[in-house]
Amino acid sequence: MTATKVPPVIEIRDPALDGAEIARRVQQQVERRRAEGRYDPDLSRRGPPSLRPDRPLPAEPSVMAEFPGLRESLAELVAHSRLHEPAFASNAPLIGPLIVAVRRAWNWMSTKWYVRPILAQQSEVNERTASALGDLAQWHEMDSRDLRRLEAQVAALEARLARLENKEEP
Amino acid sequence: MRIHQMHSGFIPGDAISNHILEIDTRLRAWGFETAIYARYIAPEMADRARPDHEYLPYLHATEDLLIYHYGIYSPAVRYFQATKGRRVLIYHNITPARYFRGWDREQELLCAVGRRTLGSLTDCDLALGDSEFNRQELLAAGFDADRSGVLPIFLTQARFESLPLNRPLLDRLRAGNKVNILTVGRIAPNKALEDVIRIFAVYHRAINPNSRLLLVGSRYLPRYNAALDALVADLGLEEAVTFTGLVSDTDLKTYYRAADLYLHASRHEGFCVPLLEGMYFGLPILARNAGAVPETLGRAGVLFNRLGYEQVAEMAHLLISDPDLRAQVVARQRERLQDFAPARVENRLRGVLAELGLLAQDWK
Repeated sequence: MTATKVPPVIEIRDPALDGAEIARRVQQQVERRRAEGRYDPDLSRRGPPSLRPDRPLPAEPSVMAEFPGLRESLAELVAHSRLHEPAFASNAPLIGPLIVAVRRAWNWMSTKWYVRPILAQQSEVNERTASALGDLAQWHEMDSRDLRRLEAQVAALEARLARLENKEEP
Repeated sequence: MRIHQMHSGFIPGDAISNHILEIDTRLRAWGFETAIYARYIAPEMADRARPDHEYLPYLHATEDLLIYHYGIYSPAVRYFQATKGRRVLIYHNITPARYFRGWDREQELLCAVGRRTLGSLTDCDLALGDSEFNRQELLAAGFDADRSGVLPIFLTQARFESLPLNRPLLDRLRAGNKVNILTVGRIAPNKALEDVIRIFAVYHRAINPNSRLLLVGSRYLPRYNAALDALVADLGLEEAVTFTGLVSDTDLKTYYRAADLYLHASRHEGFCVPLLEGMYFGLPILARNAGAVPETLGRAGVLFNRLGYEQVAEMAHLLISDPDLRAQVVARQRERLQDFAPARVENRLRGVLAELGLLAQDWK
Protein backbone atom coordinates (compact mmCIF):
# COMPACT_ATOMS: atom_id res chain seq x y z
CA MET A 1 0.00 0.00 0.00
CA THR A 2 1.31 3.47 -0.91
CA ALA A 3 1.52 5.88 2.01
CA THR A 4 -0.41 9.15 1.51
CA LYS A 5 2.00 12.07 1.26
CA VAL A 6 1.07 14.80 3.73
CA PRO A 7 1.54 18.20 2.06
CA PRO A 8 3.80 20.76 3.77
CA VAL A 9 2.04 23.33 5.95
CA ILE A 10 3.41 26.30 3.99
CA GLU A 11 3.35 26.39 0.21
CA ILE A 12 5.01 29.10 -1.87
CA ARG A 13 4.27 28.99 -5.59
CA ASP A 14 6.28 32.00 -6.66
CA PRO A 15 9.32 30.54 -8.49
CA ALA A 16 11.27 33.71 -7.72
CA LEU A 17 11.17 32.88 -4.01
CA ASP A 18 13.20 30.17 -2.33
CA GLY A 19 10.32 28.23 -0.79
CA ALA A 20 12.58 25.64 0.84
CA GLU A 21 14.66 28.33 2.54
CA ILE A 22 11.55 30.12 3.79
CA ALA A 23 10.14 26.85 5.15
CA ARG A 24 13.46 26.21 6.90
CA ARG A 25 13.39 29.64 8.55
CA VAL A 26 9.80 29.10 9.68
CA GLN A 27 10.62 25.69 11.11
CA GLN A 28 13.69 27.06 12.89
CA GLN A 29 11.56 29.69 14.62
CA VAL A 30 8.93 27.11 15.56
CA GLU A 31 11.55 24.85 17.13
CA ARG A 32 13.20 27.72 19.00
CA ARG A 33 9.98 29.03 20.48
CA ARG A 34 8.75 25.54 21.22
CA ALA A 35 11.95 24.86 23.14
CA GLU A 36 11.34 28.09 25.06
CA GLY A 37 7.81 26.90 25.92
CA ARG A 38 6.21 29.94 24.22
CA TYR A 39 3.35 28.09 22.54
CA ASP A 40 0.09 27.08 24.18
CA PRO A 41 -0.03 23.25 23.94
CA ASP A 42 -3.80 23.31 24.56
CA LEU A 43 -4.61 25.75 21.76
CA SER A 44 -6.75 23.23 19.82
CA ARG A 45 -8.83 22.53 22.90
CA ARG A 46 -9.60 26.19 23.67
CA GLY A 47 -13.07 27.58 23.08
CA PRO A 48 -16.40 25.81 22.73
CA PRO A 49 -16.42 22.20 21.46
CA SER A 50 -18.30 23.32 18.33
CA LEU A 51 -15.17 25.20 17.18
CA ARG A 52 -12.52 22.59 17.90
CA PRO A 53 -10.54 21.49 14.88
CA ASP A 54 -11.32 17.79 15.36
CA ARG A 55 -15.06 18.29 15.97
CA PRO A 56 -17.30 15.79 14.22
CA LEU A 57 -20.03 17.18 11.99
CA PRO A 58 -23.45 16.98 13.64
CA ALA A 59 -25.74 14.34 12.16
CA GLU A 60 -28.52 15.51 9.89
CA PRO A 61 -31.90 14.91 11.51
CA SER A 62 -34.57 13.46 9.22
CA VAL A 63 -37.30 15.74 7.88
CA MET A 64 -39.99 13.73 9.65
CA ALA A 65 -38.05 13.76 12.92
CA GLU A 66 -37.38 17.47 12.58
CA PHE A 67 -41.01 18.36 12.00
CA PRO A 68 -42.73 15.81 14.24
CA GLY A 69 -46.23 16.83 13.16
CA LEU A 70 -45.47 16.67 9.43
CA ARG A 71 -46.76 13.13 8.79
CA GLU A 72 -50.01 13.86 10.67
CA SER A 73 -50.43 17.24 8.97
CA LEU A 74 -50.08 15.63 5.57
CA ALA A 75 -52.67 12.98 6.45
CA GLU A 76 -55.05 15.70 7.63
CA LEU A 77 -54.46 17.69 4.49
CA VAL A 78 -55.47 14.69 2.38
CA ALA A 79 -58.58 14.11 4.52
CA HIS A 80 -59.71 17.72 4.15
CA SER A 81 -58.74 18.28 0.57
CA ARG A 82 -62.23 17.60 -0.93
CA LEU A 83 -64.62 20.49 -0.34
CA HIS A 84 -68.17 19.74 0.86
CA GLU A 85 -71.26 21.84 0.55
CA PRO A 86 -72.74 22.74 3.93
CA ALA A 87 -75.99 21.08 5.00
CA PHE A 88 -78.72 23.62 5.73
CA ALA A 89 -80.48 23.60 9.09
CA SER A 90 -82.71 25.96 11.08
CA ASN A 91 -83.71 25.99 14.75
CA ALA A 92 -86.72 28.26 14.16
CA PRO A 93 -89.93 26.70 15.50
CA LEU A 94 -92.66 25.76 12.99
CA ILE A 95 -91.20 27.61 10.00
CA GLY A 96 -87.77 25.97 10.33
CA PRO A 97 -88.40 23.35 7.64
CA LEU A 98 -89.69 26.08 5.32
CA ILE A 99 -86.53 28.18 5.81
CA VAL A 100 -84.38 25.12 5.05
CA ALA A 101 -86.40 24.33 1.93
CA VAL A 102 -86.10 27.92 0.65
CA ARG A 103 -82.34 27.99 1.31
CA ARG A 104 -81.92 24.65 -0.46
CA ALA A 105 -83.91 25.87 -3.46
CA TRP A 106 -81.94 29.12 -3.65
CA ASN A 107 -78.69 27.29 -3.23
CA TRP A 108 -79.68 24.84 -6.00
CA MET A 109 -80.47 27.76 -8.29
CA SER A 110 -77.39 29.80 -7.51
CA THR A 111 -74.68 27.15 -7.20
CA LYS A 112 -75.54 24.36 -9.62
CA TRP A 113 -74.08 25.92 -12.78
CA TYR A 114 -71.30 28.05 -11.35
CA VAL A 115 -70.19 27.36 -7.79
CA ARG A 116 -70.26 23.55 -7.90
CA PRO A 117 -67.90 23.25 -10.88
CA ILE A 118 -65.52 25.63 -9.09
CA LEU A 119 -65.82 23.52 -5.91
CA ALA A 120 -64.96 20.44 -7.95
CA GLN A 121 -61.96 22.14 -9.53
CA GLN A 122 -60.73 23.40 -6.17
CA SER A 123 -61.18 19.93 -4.62
CA GLU A 124 -59.08 18.44 -7.40
CA VAL A 125 -56.36 21.06 -6.94
CA ASN A 126 -56.38 20.39 -3.19
CA GLU A 127 -56.11 16.63 -3.65
CA ARG A 128 -53.29 16.93 -6.16
CA THR A 129 -51.45 19.43 -3.95
CA ALA A 130 -51.80 17.17 -0.91
CA SER A 131 -50.55 14.22 -2.93
CA ALA A 132 -47.59 16.19 -4.33
CA LEU A 133 -46.64 17.39 -0.84
CA GLY A 134 -46.73 13.81 0.39
CA ASP A 135 -44.46 12.78 -2.49
CA LEU A 136 -42.09 15.64 -1.74
CA ALA A 137 -41.90 14.75 1.94
CA GLN A 138 -41.17 11.14 1.05
CA TRP A 139 -38.57 12.20 -1.50
CA HIS A 140 -36.98 14.50 1.06
CA GLU A 141 -36.97 11.68 3.59
CA MET A 142 -35.05 9.47 1.17
CA ASP A 143 -32.61 12.31 0.48
CA SER A 144 -32.13 12.84 4.20
CA ARG A 145 -31.24 9.19 4.57
CA ASP A 146 -28.67 9.53 1.78
CA LEU A 147 -27.36 12.70 3.38
CA ARG A 148 -26.93 11.01 6.75
CA ARG A 149 -24.99 8.20 5.13
CA LEU A 150 -22.78 10.63 3.17
CA GLU A 151 -22.26 12.80 6.22
CA ALA A 152 -21.07 9.86 8.25
CA GLN A 153 -18.50 9.28 5.50
CA VAL A 154 -17.49 12.96 5.49
CA ALA A 155 -17.21 13.00 9.29
CA ALA A 156 -14.93 9.93 9.18
CA LEU A 157 -12.79 11.54 6.47
CA GLU A 158 -12.62 14.88 8.32
CA ALA A 159 -11.62 13.16 11.54
CA ARG A 160 -8.87 11.38 9.59
CA LEU A 161 -7.77 14.67 8.06
CA ALA A 162 -7.71 16.36 11.48
CA ARG A 163 -5.54 13.53 12.82
CA LEU A 164 -3.16 14.02 9.87
CA GLU A 165 -3.17 17.79 10.37
CA ASN A 166 -2.32 17.44 14.01
CA LYS A 167 0.82 15.51 13.10
CA GLU A 168 3.52 18.14 13.12
CA GLU A 169 5.95 18.57 10.29
CA PRO A 170 9.26 16.82 10.85
CA MET B 1 -33.07 45.16 -27.03
CA ARG B 2 -32.71 45.14 -23.28
CA ILE B 3 -30.24 43.39 -20.99
CA HIS B 4 -31.64 42.58 -17.56
CA GLN B 5 -29.57 41.50 -14.57
CA MET B 6 -31.13 39.78 -11.59
CA HIS B 7 -29.83 38.77 -8.16
CA SER B 8 -31.37 37.76 -4.85
CA GLY B 9 -30.15 40.86 -3.01
CA PHE B 10 -28.79 44.24 -3.96
CA ILE B 11 -26.71 45.54 -1.07
CA PRO B 12 -24.03 48.25 -0.81
CA GLY B 13 -20.53 46.87 -0.41
CA ASP B 14 -21.56 43.38 -1.52
CA ALA B 15 -19.11 41.95 -4.08
CA ILE B 16 -21.83 40.57 -6.38
CA SER B 17 -23.87 43.79 -6.22
CA ASN B 18 -20.74 45.77 -7.12
CA HIS B 19 -20.05 43.36 -9.99
CA ILE B 20 -23.61 43.84 -11.29
CA LEU B 21 -23.15 47.62 -11.20
CA GLU B 22 -19.83 47.38 -13.04
CA ILE B 23 -21.41 45.20 -15.75
CA ASP B 24 -24.37 47.58 -15.97
CA THR B 25 -22.08 50.58 -16.46
CA ARG B 26 -20.32 48.84 -19.37
CA LEU B 27 -23.55 47.67 -20.98
CA ARG B 28 -24.97 51.18 -20.92
CA ALA B 29 -21.76 52.56 -22.37
CA TRP B 30 -22.11 50.08 -25.23
CA GLY B 31 -25.60 51.32 -25.98
CA PHE B 32 -27.78 48.69 -24.35
CA GLU B 33 -30.92 49.47 -22.44
CA THR B 34 -30.46 47.86 -19.04
CA ALA B 35 -32.27 47.10 -15.81
CA ILE B 36 -31.30 45.49 -12.49
CA TYR B 37 -33.75 43.45 -10.42
CA ALA B 38 -33.51 41.94 -6.95
CA ARG B 39 -35.74 40.38 -4.35
CA TYR B 40 -34.15 42.40 -1.53
CA ILE B 41 -32.99 45.91 -2.32
CA ALA B 42 -31.19 47.86 0.41
CA PRO B 43 -32.79 51.30 0.86
CA GLU B 44 -29.64 53.13 -0.24
CA MET B 45 -29.64 51.14 -3.52
CA ALA B 46 -33.33 51.71 -4.30
CA ASP B 47 -32.61 54.06 -7.19
CA ARG B 48 -30.41 51.47 -8.96
CA ALA B 49 -32.61 48.36 -8.88
CA ARG B 50 -36.24 47.29 -9.16
CA PRO B 51 -38.15 44.57 -7.31
CA ASP B 52 -37.77 41.31 -9.24
CA HIS B 53 -41.51 40.95 -9.96
CA GLU B 54 -41.20 43.98 -12.25
CA TYR B 55 -39.33 41.69 -14.63
CA LEU B 56 -42.55 39.74 -15.34
CA PRO B 57 -43.55 41.78 -18.45
CA TYR B 58 -40.24 40.78 -20.09
CA LEU B 59 -40.58 37.02 -19.62
CA HIS B 60 -41.65 36.62 -23.26
CA ALA B 61 -39.40 39.28 -24.78
CA THR B 62 -37.46 36.92 -27.03
CA GLU B 63 -34.96 39.57 -28.13
CA ASP B 64 -33.93 40.42 -24.56
CA LEU B 65 -31.14 38.91 -22.47
CA LEU B 66 -31.44 38.01 -18.80
CA ILE B 67 -28.20 37.65 -16.81
CA TYR B 68 -29.00 35.83 -13.59
CA HIS B 69 -26.41 36.06 -10.82
CA TYR B 70 -26.63 32.90 -8.77
CA GLY B 71 -25.07 32.91 -5.31
CA ILE B 72 -27.86 31.57 -3.12
CA TYR B 73 -31.33 30.19 -3.63
CA SER B 74 -34.08 32.69 -4.35
CA PRO B 75 -37.59 31.97 -5.63
CA ALA B 76 -36.74 34.49 -8.39
CA VAL B 77 -34.82 31.70 -10.09
CA ARG B 78 -38.24 30.80 -11.57
CA TYR B 79 -38.04 33.97 -13.69
CA PHE B 80 -34.79 32.70 -15.14
CA GLN B 81 -36.33 29.30 -15.88
CA ALA B 82 -39.45 30.83 -17.48
CA THR B 83 -37.63 33.43 -19.62
CA LYS B 84 -38.19 32.91 -23.36
CA GLY B 85 -35.38 35.22 -24.43
CA ARG B 86 -31.65 34.58 -24.11
CA ARG B 87 -30.37 33.57 -20.70
CA VAL B 88 -26.92 33.74 -19.15
CA LEU B 89 -26.24 32.31 -15.71
CA ILE B 90 -23.32 33.75 -13.73
CA TYR B 91 -22.49 31.33 -10.95
CA HIS B 92 -20.81 32.95 -7.96
CA ASN B 93 -20.82 29.68 -6.03
CA ILE B 94 -23.05 28.53 -3.22
CA THR B 95 -21.43 27.51 0.07
CA PRO B 96 -22.01 23.79 0.74
CA ALA B 97 -24.89 23.57 3.20
CA ARG B 98 -22.99 21.42 5.68
CA TYR B 99 -20.89 24.38 6.77
CA PHE B 100 -24.02 25.97 8.25
CA ARG B 101 -25.25 22.79 9.96
CA GLY B 102 -25.70 23.39 13.65
CA TRP B 103 -25.21 27.14 13.17
CA ASP B 104 -28.12 28.40 11.10
CA ARG B 105 -30.95 26.28 9.75
CA GLU B 106 -32.22 28.87 7.28
CA GLN B 107 -28.82 29.40 5.66
CA GLU B 108 -28.30 25.66 5.55
CA LEU B 109 -31.60 25.16 3.72
CA LEU B 110 -31.05 28.08 1.32
CA CYS B 111 -27.64 26.69 0.40
CA ALA B 112 -28.90 23.10 0.09
CA VAL B 113 -31.85 24.07 -2.09
CA GLY B 114 -29.67 26.49 -4.05
CA ARG B 115 -27.15 23.80 -4.92
CA ARG B 116 -29.89 21.33 -5.77
CA THR B 117 -31.63 23.86 -8.01
CA LEU B 118 -28.41 24.49 -9.96
CA GLY B 119 -28.97 21.25 -11.87
CA SER B 120 -32.32 22.53 -13.13
CA LEU B 121 -30.81 25.66 -14.69
CA THR B 122 -28.64 23.93 -17.28
CA ASP B 123 -30.89 24.80 -20.19
CA CYS B 124 -29.45 28.29 -20.78
CA ASP B 125 -27.52 29.98 -23.56
CA LEU B 126 -24.34 30.40 -21.55
CA ALA B 127 -23.20 29.59 -18.02
CA LEU B 128 -20.28 31.50 -16.56
CA GLY B 129 -18.34 30.95 -13.37
CA ASP B 130 -16.36 33.81 -11.93
CA SER B 131 -13.49 31.35 -11.59
CA GLU B 132 -12.49 28.08 -13.21
CA PHE B 133 -13.31 26.47 -9.85
CA ASN B 134 -16.91 27.69 -10.21
CA ARG B 135 -17.05 26.62 -13.86
CA GLN B 136 -16.04 23.11 -12.82
CA GLU B 137 -18.92 23.06 -10.33
CA LEU B 138 -21.25 24.06 -13.17
CA LEU B 139 -19.99 21.16 -15.29
CA ALA B 140 -20.44 18.78 -12.36
CA ALA B 141 -24.04 20.00 -12.07
CA GLY B 142 -24.68 19.05 -15.70
CA PHE B 143 -23.98 22.26 -17.65
CA ASP B 144 -22.63 21.93 -21.18
CA ALA B 145 -18.87 22.58 -21.33
CA ASP B 146 -19.20 24.18 -24.78
CA ARG B 147 -21.64 26.73 -23.44
CA SER B 148 -19.67 27.61 -20.32
CA GLY B 149 -16.89 30.04 -19.52
CA VAL B 150 -15.22 32.21 -16.92
CA LEU B 151 -15.92 35.89 -16.27
CA PRO B 152 -13.92 37.12 -13.26
CA ILE B 153 -15.42 39.64 -10.88
CA PHE B 154 -14.65 43.29 -11.54
CA LEU B 155 -12.46 44.76 -8.83
CA THR B 156 -13.90 48.21 -8.37
CA GLN B 157 -10.53 49.97 -8.13
CA ALA B 158 -11.99 53.28 -9.20
CA ARG B 159 -14.39 53.07 -6.28
CA PHE B 160 -11.51 52.71 -3.80
CA GLU B 161 -9.44 55.40 -5.49
CA SER B 162 -12.17 57.99 -5.19
CA LEU B 163 -12.93 57.22 -1.56
CA PRO B 164 -11.44 59.22 1.31
CA LEU B 165 -9.84 57.53 4.31
CA ASN B 166 -11.47 57.65 7.73
CA ARG B 167 -8.62 59.60 9.35
CA PRO B 168 -9.67 59.25 13.02
CA LEU B 169 -10.06 55.48 12.51
CA LEU B 170 -6.70 55.27 10.72
CA ASP B 171 -5.01 57.17 13.56
CA ARG B 172 -6.56 54.84 16.14
CA LEU B 173 -5.45 51.75 14.22
CA ARG B 174 -1.91 53.03 13.80
CA ALA B 175 -1.53 54.27 17.36
CA GLY B 176 1.21 52.53 19.36
CA ASN B 177 2.70 50.97 16.20
CA LYS B 178 0.55 47.90 16.61
CA VAL B 179 0.74 45.22 13.96
CA ASN B 180 -2.72 44.86 12.39
CA ILE B 181 -3.68 41.50 10.93
CA LEU B 182 -6.78 41.73 8.77
CA THR B 183 -9.41 39.37 7.44
CA VAL B 184 -12.45 40.53 5.45
CA GLY B 185 -15.70 38.77 4.67
CA ARG B 186 -18.98 37.60 6.15
CA ILE B 187 -18.53 36.09 9.61
CA ALA B 188 -19.62 32.64 8.48
CA PRO B 189 -18.51 29.10 9.39
CA ASN B 190 -17.08 28.27 5.94
CA LYS B 191 -14.61 31.13 6.50
CA ALA B 192 -13.16 29.17 9.46
CA LEU B 193 -12.60 32.29 11.53
CA GLU B 194 -11.82 30.09 14.52
CA ASP B 195 -8.65 29.11 12.67
CA VAL B 196 -7.80 32.77 12.02
CA ILE B 197 -8.27 33.49 15.73
CA ARG B 198 -6.11 30.53 16.83
CA ILE B 199 -3.34 31.47 14.37
CA PHE B 200 -3.50 35.02 15.70
CA ALA B 201 -3.45 33.70 19.28
CA VAL B 202 -0.09 32.06 18.58
CA TYR B 203 1.23 35.23 16.92
CA HIS B 204 -0.01 37.53 19.68
CA ARG B 205 1.03 35.41 22.65
CA ALA B 206 4.26 33.83 21.44
CA ILE B 207 5.61 36.26 18.84
CA ASN B 208 4.31 39.83 19.09
CA PRO B 209 1.94 40.97 21.86
CA ASN B 210 1.81 44.45 20.27
CA SER B 211 -0.64 43.21 17.66
CA ARG B 212 -4.31 43.23 16.84
CA LEU B 213 -6.67 41.08 14.76
CA LEU B 214 -9.32 42.90 12.74
CA LEU B 215 -12.25 40.81 11.51
CA VAL B 216 -14.20 42.97 9.10
CA GLY B 217 -17.56 41.69 7.89
CA SER B 218 -21.20 41.33 8.77
CA ARG B 219 -22.08 39.23 11.81
CA TYR B 220 -25.37 37.64 10.78
CA LEU B 221 -25.23 34.23 12.47
CA PRO B 222 -25.86 34.66 16.23
CA ARG B 223 -24.81 31.13 17.25
CA TYR B 224 -21.55 31.29 15.32
CA ASN B 225 -20.89 34.80 16.66
CA ALA B 226 -21.42 33.59 20.23
CA ALA B 227 -19.06 30.63 19.72
CA LEU B 228 -16.35 32.89 18.27
CA ASP B 229 -16.79 35.34 21.18
CA ALA B 230 -16.41 32.42 23.60
CA LEU B 231 -13.23 31.31 21.84
CA VAL B 232 -11.78 34.84 21.98
CA ALA B 233 -12.63 35.04 25.71
CA ASP B 234 -11.16 31.61 26.44
CA LEU B 235 -7.95 32.65 24.71
CA GLY B 236 -7.90 35.92 26.67
CA LEU B 237 -7.83 37.97 23.47
CA GLU B 238 -10.76 40.32 24.11
CA GLU B 239 -8.49 43.37 23.94
CA ALA B 240 -6.66 42.22 20.84
CA VAL B 241 -9.46 40.95 18.58
CA THR B 242 -11.99 43.31 17.00
CA PHE B 243 -15.11 42.29 15.14
CA THR B 244 -16.08 45.43 13.23
CA GLY B 245 -19.36 44.21 11.75
CA LEU B 246 -20.37 45.48 8.32
CA VAL B 247 -18.46 48.68 7.51
CA SER B 248 -18.75 51.47 4.95
CA ASP B 249 -16.48 51.43 1.89
CA THR B 250 -14.52 54.32 3.41
CA ASP B 251 -13.88 52.35 6.59
CA LEU B 252 -13.06 49.22 4.59
CA LYS B 253 -10.40 51.16 2.67
CA THR B 254 -9.07 52.47 5.99
CA TYR B 255 -8.80 48.97 7.48
CA TYR B 256 -6.88 47.78 4.42
CA ARG B 257 -4.60 50.82 4.60
CA ALA B 258 -3.88 50.25 8.31
CA ALA B 259 -3.23 46.51 7.98
CA ASP B 260 0.15 44.77 7.88
CA LEU B 261 -1.01 41.34 6.67
CA TYR B 262 -4.10 39.83 5.09
CA LEU B 263 -4.87 36.43 6.63
CA HIS B 264 -7.57 34.19 5.13
CA ALA B 265 -8.47 30.71 6.41
CA SER B 266 -11.67 30.02 4.46
CA ARG B 267 -12.39 26.39 3.68
CA HIS B 268 -14.65 27.21 0.76
CA GLU B 269 -14.47 30.17 -1.63
CA GLY B 270 -15.78 30.48 -5.17
CA PHE B 271 -13.53 33.44 -6.03
CA CYS B 272 -12.64 35.58 -2.97
CA VAL B 273 -12.75 39.28 -3.78
CA PRO B 274 -10.89 40.30 -0.56
CA LEU B 275 -7.77 38.62 -1.98
CA LEU B 276 -7.88 41.05 -4.92
CA GLU B 277 -8.47 43.91 -2.51
CA GLY B 278 -5.52 42.78 -0.38
CA MET B 279 -3.36 42.71 -3.53
CA TYR B 280 -4.63 46.15 -4.52
CA PHE B 281 -3.74 47.63 -1.12
CA GLY B 282 -0.28 46.05 -1.16
CA LEU B 283 -0.78 43.68 1.78
CA PRO B 284 1.11 40.38 1.83
CA ILE B 285 -1.47 37.58 1.73
CA LEU B 286 -1.36 34.38 3.74
CA ALA B 287 -4.31 32.14 2.85
CA ARG B 288 -5.55 28.57 3.21
CA ASN B 289 -5.16 26.48 0.08
CA ALA B 290 -8.87 25.74 -0.41
CA GLY B 291 -11.61 26.30 -2.95
CA ALA B 292 -10.81 28.93 -5.58
CA VAL B 293 -8.17 30.64 -3.41
CA PRO B 294 -5.11 29.12 -5.16
CA GLU B 295 -6.63 29.97 -8.54
CA THR B 296 -7.31 33.59 -7.57
CA LEU B 297 -3.82 33.98 -6.12
CA GLY B 298 -2.07 32.25 -9.01
CA ARG B 299 1.60 32.16 -8.06
CA ALA B 300 1.22 35.12 -5.73
CA GLY B 301 0.78 35.20 -1.95
CA VAL B 302 1.62 32.39 0.46
CA LEU B 303 -0.63 29.39 1.03
CA PHE B 304 -1.04 27.08 3.99
CA ASN B 305 -2.25 23.57 3.22
CA ARG B 306 -3.19 22.47 6.71
CA LEU B 307 -3.22 23.66 10.25
CA GLY B 308 0.08 23.83 11.88
CA TYR B 309 -0.89 26.89 13.95
CA GLU B 310 2.69 27.59 14.94
CA GLN B 311 4.05 27.32 11.39
CA VAL B 312 1.33 29.56 9.95
CA ALA B 313 1.83 32.14 12.71
CA GLU B 314 5.62 32.12 12.16
CA MET B 315 5.04 32.52 8.41
CA ALA B 316 2.80 35.50 9.18
CA HIS B 317 5.59 36.94 11.31
CA LEU B 318 8.11 36.54 8.47
CA LEU B 319 5.78 38.27 6.01
CA ILE B 320 5.29 41.13 8.45
CA SER B 321 8.84 41.56 9.67
CA ASP B 322 11.11 40.68 6.73
CA PRO B 323 10.99 43.72 4.42
CA ASP B 324 12.67 41.97 1.47
CA LEU B 325 10.35 38.97 1.55
CA ARG B 326 7.36 41.23 2.01
CA ALA B 327 8.36 43.40 -0.96
CA GLN B 328 8.83 40.34 -3.19
CA VAL B 329 5.48 38.84 -2.21
CA VAL B 330 3.66 42.15 -2.69
CA ALA B 331 5.35 42.71 -6.08
CA ARG B 332 4.20 39.29 -7.32
CA GLN B 333 0.70 40.01 -6.04
CA ARG B 334 0.61 43.33 -7.94
CA GLU B 335 1.64 41.43 -11.06
CA ARG B 336 -1.16 38.92 -10.49
CA LEU B 337 -3.67 41.73 -9.94
CA GLN B 338 -3.09 42.82 -13.53
CA ASP B 339 -4.81 39.60 -14.67
CA PHE B 340 -7.99 40.99 -13.09
CA ALA B 341 -7.57 44.52 -14.44
CA PRO B 342 -10.98 46.02 -15.24
CA ALA B 343 -9.99 46.38 -18.93
CA ARG B 344 -9.36 42.62 -19.17
CA VAL B 345 -12.63 41.69 -17.50
CA GLU B 346 -14.37 44.21 -19.75
CA ASN B 347 -12.87 42.52 -22.83
CA ARG B 348 -14.08 39.17 -21.59
CA LEU B 349 -17.58 40.61 -21.08
CA ARG B 350 -17.55 41.93 -24.65
CA GLY B 351 -16.48 38.48 -25.78
CA VAL B 352 -19.47 36.97 -23.98
CA LEU B 353 -21.85 39.38 -25.71
CA ALA B 354 -20.19 38.68 -29.05
CA GLU B 355 -20.64 34.94 -28.49
CA LEU B 356 -24.33 35.59 -27.98
CA GLY B 357 -24.48 37.67 -31.17
CA LEU B 358 -25.26 40.84 -29.24
CA LEU B 359 -22.07 42.64 -30.23
CA ALA B 360 -20.09 42.43 -33.47
CA GLN B 361 -17.37 39.74 -33.44
CA ASP B 362 -14.75 42.29 -34.58
CA TRP B 363 -15.12 44.42 -31.45
CA LYS B 364 -11.40 44.08 -30.73
